[in-house]
Amino acid sequence: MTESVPLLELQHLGVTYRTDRGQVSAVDDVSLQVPMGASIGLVGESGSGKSTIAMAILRLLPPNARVDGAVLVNGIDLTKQPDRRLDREWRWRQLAIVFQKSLSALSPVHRIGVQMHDVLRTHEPDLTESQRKDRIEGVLAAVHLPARVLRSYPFELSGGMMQRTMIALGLVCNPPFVIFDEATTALDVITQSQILGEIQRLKEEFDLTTMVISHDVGVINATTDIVAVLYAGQLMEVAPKRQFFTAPRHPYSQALIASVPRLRGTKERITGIPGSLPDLAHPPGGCRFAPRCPHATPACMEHTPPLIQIAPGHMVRCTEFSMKADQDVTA
Amino acid sequence: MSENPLLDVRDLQCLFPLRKGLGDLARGKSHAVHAVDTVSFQMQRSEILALVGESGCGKSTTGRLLVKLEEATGGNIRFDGEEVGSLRGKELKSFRRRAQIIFQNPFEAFDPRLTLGASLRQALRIHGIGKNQAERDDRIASVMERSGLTPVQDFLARYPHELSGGQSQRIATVRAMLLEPDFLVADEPVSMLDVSVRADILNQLLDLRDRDGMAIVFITHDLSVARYIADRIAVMYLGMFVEIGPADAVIERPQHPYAQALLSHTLPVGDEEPVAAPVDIGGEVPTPVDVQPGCRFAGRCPFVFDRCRMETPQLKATSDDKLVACHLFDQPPA
Repeated sequence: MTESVPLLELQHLGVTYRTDRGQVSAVDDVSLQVPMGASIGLVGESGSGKSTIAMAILRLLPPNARVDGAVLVNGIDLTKQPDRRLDREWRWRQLAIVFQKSLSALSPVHRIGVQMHDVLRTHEPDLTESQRKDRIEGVLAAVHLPARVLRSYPFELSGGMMQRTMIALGLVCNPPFVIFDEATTALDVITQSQILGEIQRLKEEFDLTTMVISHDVGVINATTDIVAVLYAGQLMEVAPKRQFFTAPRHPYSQALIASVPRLRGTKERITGIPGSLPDLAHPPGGCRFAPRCPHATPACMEHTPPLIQIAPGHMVRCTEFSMKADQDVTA
Repeated sequence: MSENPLLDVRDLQCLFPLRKGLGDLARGKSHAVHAVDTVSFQMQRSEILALVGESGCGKSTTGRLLVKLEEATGGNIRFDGEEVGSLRGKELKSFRRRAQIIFQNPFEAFDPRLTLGASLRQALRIHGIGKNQAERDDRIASVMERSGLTPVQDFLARYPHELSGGQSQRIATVRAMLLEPDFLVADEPVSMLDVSVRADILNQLLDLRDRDGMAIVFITHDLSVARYIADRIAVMYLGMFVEIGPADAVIERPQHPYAQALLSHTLPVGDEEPVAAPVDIGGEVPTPVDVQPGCRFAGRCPFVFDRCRMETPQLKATSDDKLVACHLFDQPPA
């Protein structure tokens, strides 16, 4: 991490949806820095705001969403860029995203080759026909796909081939930053592991910085070096991967890890997390996880704890730590 | 195996015929997908058997055959001594009560127009359980309470869309439990759920085995989940069992090359000791149409040799308490 300016920086990012039931705060005050070359994992239950953050970065949210804060890429605030500019200069060329539902991300009535050429023609209009062809063949080879997929329609491909196609499409404009939003979730065990291996290799080859969104801690473990835990739209813990898995400090992170059965080692009884995500139209006062937290105290219900740094690169939002920090200051 | 298994499956086969082309008609040929082929195993009461494998390996079809939602095209299933294929009328209805299934997608498990109370009562009424409404309601309440779905009346008055995924799956399990079955097929019951609620469903199933002596076939693609819940694990590939044995033996010492590949590609969580280097198998799972003799894994197997392409390997006992269908473990005596 030699770069001083992070490639991606989220500053107090907030996303609020206007709905019939009032304001729903889906993402609340998320600040993150992703250094060049790093890979950050966003983990949390469904509804925790993981994908909303990705959509906010790319500005793909529906019109009833209001975005606060800033999304800085190489120091430039994307939220201030005009639509046309964002489309021409940023999406695909600087930031790409690979979704889970690849079948619905492509047009069913056009061949894959046509769709890939379209992307290049739109975002890099200066390329000649043969340059486009070279570029496309290059990315297909990088994800181990035969050139014949260019003549195929999406429905003719298997799930693994579709997902590889989506990754190739994401890389076709050589973006430095790629978001993988549950990109391997629907795949079989072996295909998933092969594609994750390829993503790791591509990361080196293309010098990528990545954001991996997954509910699966196994995927997070295989692909990231920083883990950000989201709960009800808030960051609960940000930690280097090793710390997250070996010494998670937030009770929610601990509960997440304790709920996953292991393949090796002694067989321990796993436990779920009782209760469910709070209603984000009326989030509970105090810590949002407090109603489900086994260690909650009355203090947790009163004040929302701040995200505080407890070690280099390790931050936690928990009353236990913020109270300790306060005592240290007064002492 | 003991004298009286609850379930005794012999050479179970399920072929799905494919539509005939004009050329096939002229030549009088027909094609079929071999979804399940010569599967044999036994199950005792109080036992959980996990069927693992990739999509298309026939694990769900096997589950559906076991509860007679699909008709076998060959072989037979004996349930508590009775031949399932020949059950009719009253006996069939009794089998339907004793053998239950829960599915992957809990959102599609209930009639959206009925309250959950109505759905649950219907199951009891159809099978004539409970003398009157009050008795049936008592029974529902006690099973719901045991599953931690309280307040009961609040849940019974709701419609399916008012539940979370975890709650739906727990109520689907409750509906199966109401009929006090001896045997349950659980087809990927947790793969659509958040990890935070998965544990509850898995522990609920373990409790059914321990408290009620239920036999459960648990279908999953996740080997960590299989290890957690199952007493025995059967690994399937293209409609056949390639390895079956005690869960720990299969997970710790897989023998069939496919089982080894599957395990080596299962992602470790955190600081777990690294699993063996990924076993490299090329390509993807083919469709088992008009299978030729020989091992079905031969085309992708890193250890393939001539015999694999000519002769289909049979499940044979290995020194590790398992049955493995692979010529590597079945060398003819020199």
